[in-house]
Amino acid sequence: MVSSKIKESFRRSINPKSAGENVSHSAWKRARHIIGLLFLLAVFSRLSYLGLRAFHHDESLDAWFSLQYLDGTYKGYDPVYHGPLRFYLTAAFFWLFGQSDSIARLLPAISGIAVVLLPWVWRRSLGLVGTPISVALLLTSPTMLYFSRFGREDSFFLALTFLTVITLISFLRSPRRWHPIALLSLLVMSLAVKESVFLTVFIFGSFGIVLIAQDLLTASFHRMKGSPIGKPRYKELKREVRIEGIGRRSISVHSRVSQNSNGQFVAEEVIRRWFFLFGVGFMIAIFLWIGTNPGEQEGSPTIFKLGIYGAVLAFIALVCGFVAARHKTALSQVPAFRALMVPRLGGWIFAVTVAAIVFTALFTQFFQQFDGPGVATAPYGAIRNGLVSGFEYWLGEQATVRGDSRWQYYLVLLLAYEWIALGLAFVGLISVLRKPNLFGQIIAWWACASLIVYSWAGERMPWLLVHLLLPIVILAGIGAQSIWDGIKNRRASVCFGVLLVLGFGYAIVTSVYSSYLRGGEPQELFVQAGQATPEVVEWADQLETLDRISLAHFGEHLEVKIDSDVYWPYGWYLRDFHSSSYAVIRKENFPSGADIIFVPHWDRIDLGDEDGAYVEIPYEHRWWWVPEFDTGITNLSQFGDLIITWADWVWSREPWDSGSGRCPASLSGSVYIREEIFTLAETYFDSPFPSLGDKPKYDKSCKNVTNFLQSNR
Amino acid sequence: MNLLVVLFLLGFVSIGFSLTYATSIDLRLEERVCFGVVIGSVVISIVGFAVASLMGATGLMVLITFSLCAAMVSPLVFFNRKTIKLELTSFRHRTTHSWKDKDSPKPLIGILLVSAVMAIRILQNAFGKTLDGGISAGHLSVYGDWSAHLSYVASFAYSDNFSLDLPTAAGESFAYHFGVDWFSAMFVPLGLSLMGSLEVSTAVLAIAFPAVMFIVCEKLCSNRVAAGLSVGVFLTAGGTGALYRFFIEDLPERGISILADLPRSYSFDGFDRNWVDNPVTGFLYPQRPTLIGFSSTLIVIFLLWMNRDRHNVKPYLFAGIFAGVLPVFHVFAFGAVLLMGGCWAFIYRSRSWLFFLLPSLSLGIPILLWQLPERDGSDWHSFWMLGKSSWERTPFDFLSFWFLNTGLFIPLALAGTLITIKKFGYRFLPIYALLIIPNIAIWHFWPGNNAKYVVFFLLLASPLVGEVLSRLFFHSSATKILAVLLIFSLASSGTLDIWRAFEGSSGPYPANYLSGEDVLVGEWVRDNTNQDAVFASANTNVHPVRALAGRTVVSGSPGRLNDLGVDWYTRDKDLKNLYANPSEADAIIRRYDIDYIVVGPYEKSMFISEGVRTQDIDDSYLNYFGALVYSTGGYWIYETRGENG
Repeated sequence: MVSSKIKESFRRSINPKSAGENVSHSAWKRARHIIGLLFLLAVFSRLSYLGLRAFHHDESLDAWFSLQYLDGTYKGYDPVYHGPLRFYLTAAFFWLFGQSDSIARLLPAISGIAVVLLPWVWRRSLGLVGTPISVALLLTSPTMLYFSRFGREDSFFLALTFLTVITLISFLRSPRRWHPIALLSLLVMSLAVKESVFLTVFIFGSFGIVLIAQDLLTASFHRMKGSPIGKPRYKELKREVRIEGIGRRSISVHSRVSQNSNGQFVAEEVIRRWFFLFGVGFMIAIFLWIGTNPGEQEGSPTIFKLGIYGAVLAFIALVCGFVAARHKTALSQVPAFRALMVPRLGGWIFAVTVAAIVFTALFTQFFQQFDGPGVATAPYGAIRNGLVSGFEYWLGEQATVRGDSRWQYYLVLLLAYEWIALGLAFVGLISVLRKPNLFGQIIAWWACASLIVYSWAGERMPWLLVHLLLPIVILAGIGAQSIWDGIKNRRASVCFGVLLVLGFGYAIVTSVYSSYLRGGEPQELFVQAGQATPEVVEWADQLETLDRISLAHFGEHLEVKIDSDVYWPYGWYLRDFHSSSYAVIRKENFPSGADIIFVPHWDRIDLGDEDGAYVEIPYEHRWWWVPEFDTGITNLSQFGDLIITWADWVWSREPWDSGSGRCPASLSGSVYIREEIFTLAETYFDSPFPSLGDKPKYDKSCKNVTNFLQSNR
Repeated sequence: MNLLVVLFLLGFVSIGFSLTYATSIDLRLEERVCFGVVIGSVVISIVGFAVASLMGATGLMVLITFSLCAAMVSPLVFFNRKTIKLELTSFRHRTTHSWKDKDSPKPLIGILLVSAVMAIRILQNAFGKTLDGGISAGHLSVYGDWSAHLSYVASFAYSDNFSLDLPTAAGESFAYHFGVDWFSAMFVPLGLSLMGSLEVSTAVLAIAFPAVMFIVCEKLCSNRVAAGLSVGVFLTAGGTGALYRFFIEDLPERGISILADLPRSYSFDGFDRNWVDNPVTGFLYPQRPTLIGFSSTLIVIFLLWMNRDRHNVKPYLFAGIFAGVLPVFHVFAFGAVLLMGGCWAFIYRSRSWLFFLLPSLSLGIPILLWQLPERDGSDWHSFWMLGKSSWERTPFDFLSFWFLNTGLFIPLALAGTLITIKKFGYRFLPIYALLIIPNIAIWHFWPGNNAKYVVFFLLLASPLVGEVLSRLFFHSSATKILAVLLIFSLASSGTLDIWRAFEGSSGPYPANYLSGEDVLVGEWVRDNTNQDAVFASANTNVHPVRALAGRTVVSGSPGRLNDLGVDWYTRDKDLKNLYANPSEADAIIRRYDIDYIVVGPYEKSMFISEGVRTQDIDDSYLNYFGALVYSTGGYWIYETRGENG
């Protein structure tokens, strides 16, 4: 909560009539201090206790591939496991800092810190209030925090996307020759991280066409009015300055103004507003036509329908171009074209060359490996795989439904975790529509298009939420600034303050709870089916110690067999283990030579002749919760129940049984331990063996299914 | 590294940072931070030791220590709050300067980054896991000297050794500069493992050292290039061994791929031809007291130099007290600062010098006397190495020795002394005593230890060498080439040795250090025996009872005991007798107050003849050694008395 003193100084600094440069400077100085403090908190929150949560299946694979690269056995880009850049970087961290769970998550954490800080670049657009609020929202966001501490590629990809958008906006505003180099290289680096870059290209490519169309029309409009858009206007302003040794003096300055009183710019705003609304509305329509569940769609292929969308936008741009041509508007008078022309042809060729070198370096393991891995999803050489396999695989995935099958999935998660950002972003959207400018328009487009595209795309996973959330948070910053600008009295400012306190309070408590205290438990909606239970970590630790004891007592290492269905994340945890192996175990091929065997419940073994030789211990490998968002109500009269159930979840993370047995559940199984090893372990470990870690207990409708194992048998 | 450790690091650096204001010397913010690392570690160790003597090494002890130190420095922070604010503003402003600007902090930040990468990587290689659940050693520093340091750190962390008994020789006093090992032990209650505590504490001090040296050399030299060269030539010193062994022998034979698997050290060959090792791989990492000693020496000299014209009391007093406690951390550093400070005081006599000399002598001398070994290990000789190993007593070998071990460092230092005589006067003449001493005396039991004087000479002469090289570099094109050639000759051996430690896969390392069975027995001893229990065990280089549990043993490694002036021979004979003739065990058990006797792989290989059957061993040991309390993985531990014995 900002103090009234700070608020007053902020207000004075925003209002040039009541404040001079000194106040504005001091207000920005304070804002910088606040951002500095938030940055320190970001470092603390992202880096502390990184190894706390058990590894998710995907995290263990990422860490494993990074190790492979370090060992020189990484075979190259396979789109199933996404791009190799983060393997290189994580391998570098392993090389420098050693191998541990925390280091495996270091790249996402550093990226998360960068994401928190990057809105500072846009401080002039976001404003004195909007900037710290954007930063604070990113800092305290439960989603951002959780996935900044999650060893997948999304946090790093998000940071690259953020940098790409920053570069893009900078290019459109004041183009420089280095912009294309940075832009294309960032896109290539993004491609070398994740195929979601196709969505980024779609979002900003479609915006680019809209932008060209509206700029052509705006330029024609100004041409008609005799006021070329490229020519800035100035007005004379009186400013009081303090000159050392002389005192205060009033001087006249020519200041560039963004609008004048004759209403010419109003037309520009109208054009921007309607182009924006049309572009977004048409996008929604197209995706409704394609179908909200791409995996279940029929008829024309998705790519054809998306092509129609692009073609219609291009046609509109052509029409606008025609109008501009008729008004003899030069291309240099159209900002979008002017930006494209600044680097000149040579600059673009150079940028493409640099990007091509970066591409080749990244997809060939720095020119070391030009062969591909030779798998079905990456059948070509390394460069061709980078160019086409990713897109082919991604397109193929759109025909399937992975993750959650409901289109409203992200909206529900946003409402559950990020309502403060969502609320402020809505205000931001209204503000952008009321007074659209380039920055606001790009951010609003980014937010709306991301929400639409990710809600449509075939794979809906909790970690993808960050890609929607980032533009929403920036839009929220615009919203917060517009609210602040519009506050006229003390009561309104108090209401705004209370709202912020509530929102940030909720975000902080939820963040701490979901990322530190009970992170990784299935009642948290961020937890996806690949999340390992704490049992896995306990077993991994115990196996290391047991092997040492076994070697000391029996002179032999433990022979551990892990069924392929439950192998990950053990592949990572037992990376230094002497003799753990990936096995395909069936009831009929029980590996009786092994000392310890892990199987899922469908391969549970009837010991038969081996009875007595092994001790069977129930085991839970992964867990999840896929609730009905309507909590199972069947008509509107039960709306109160829905509210109460969700309130229970918000207050105490109590899950609900949606009436279809959808309580938190786990992939259960069994661990078989040879009798003498079990006896040895019982005598060696102080606590009862085996230790299975802490698990959640539920009090309400899911109370009777807290034993995950039984619910799955 | 957990959050508590990070907070502890930030805490002691802040304390050290605050204490720099007590010096009354103008420093930049970044300079205070770098000095703060060293000063903070010294202060927190001293206060921590006092607190731990009362309540043991616990997390609460660390908290109380930190609180006491924070309370101690808070007035300094309060009275200098405006200066701190100004320095912060200045730092922020200076970060925008070009790195060529003399006020820019960028070169220092660059040095810190490079040294951080180097230190973290080298220390990351220090310990590894073996397939049997044991521990591997990443380089010679760890395999050799750190075996003793592990015992010292473990004795504080797990055995509350605050009565200061030597853990490697039961009944002997801890006459050793143990300060940095106690500093490492303070990390254990915060959740770090024993190995982790050594790595983290070493990393922090090793990262700070090049930065501290750069700051000091910047003040002593005429420009930043000279300062940077001073740091470079010191850290990469190591003689000219590489010029022949690498460039003429190894590289042509195996090609450039040799860099991924360097076959040998080029600065040190085990006291045959090369006696003066590289300061980083031969001193800074293995000989842990130098972590504080090198930096502290430079800080004290910096304070004395900055106060040369003003003769203020505060800097002298601060330097005096700081120097006075140095014997706890590094005896040689104490000697070096006393030599320099004493000579400066004598040459430039002024009453205010008493504020340096009195505290340093009154604090340092008693500690030094306490550390003096009972056995006289001093001797006189001439020309150090001549007549030893493969060096002949000829003038040619004398010159060859110094050229092979230090290259042209000494002539360049002499040239530096001459060209800076106007600036320094006679201030840098005393450093040549550090070359004379090893050639006339053995004050430390063994002539190999004389290399420690030479490395201090290299440290203190580096600014002079850096100055000469920078003047050559900026004089003309021809001298620029000469400077580059000189730098190449001075730095190649050390650089290759540092690279070898950094790269981490050059044979024979990583080498098996402790087996899985060793780790199990070490953990058992740590968790199941009294902290003051005395063990009889093999006096090998490393032993789990010493290294992992920190328990006192009858004898550690004989070579290291000899260095400390302990009668290792009698102890070795007694151990042999104990294991070979169990019937005579009683007298030996009483002599050393032995509580447990360990019979494991090390003992069997050292003391028990191969022909003896295990059953016979068990029977006779049970009869004479006491009750068997542990028997796992080839280890048997007998309790000589108490409930079982």
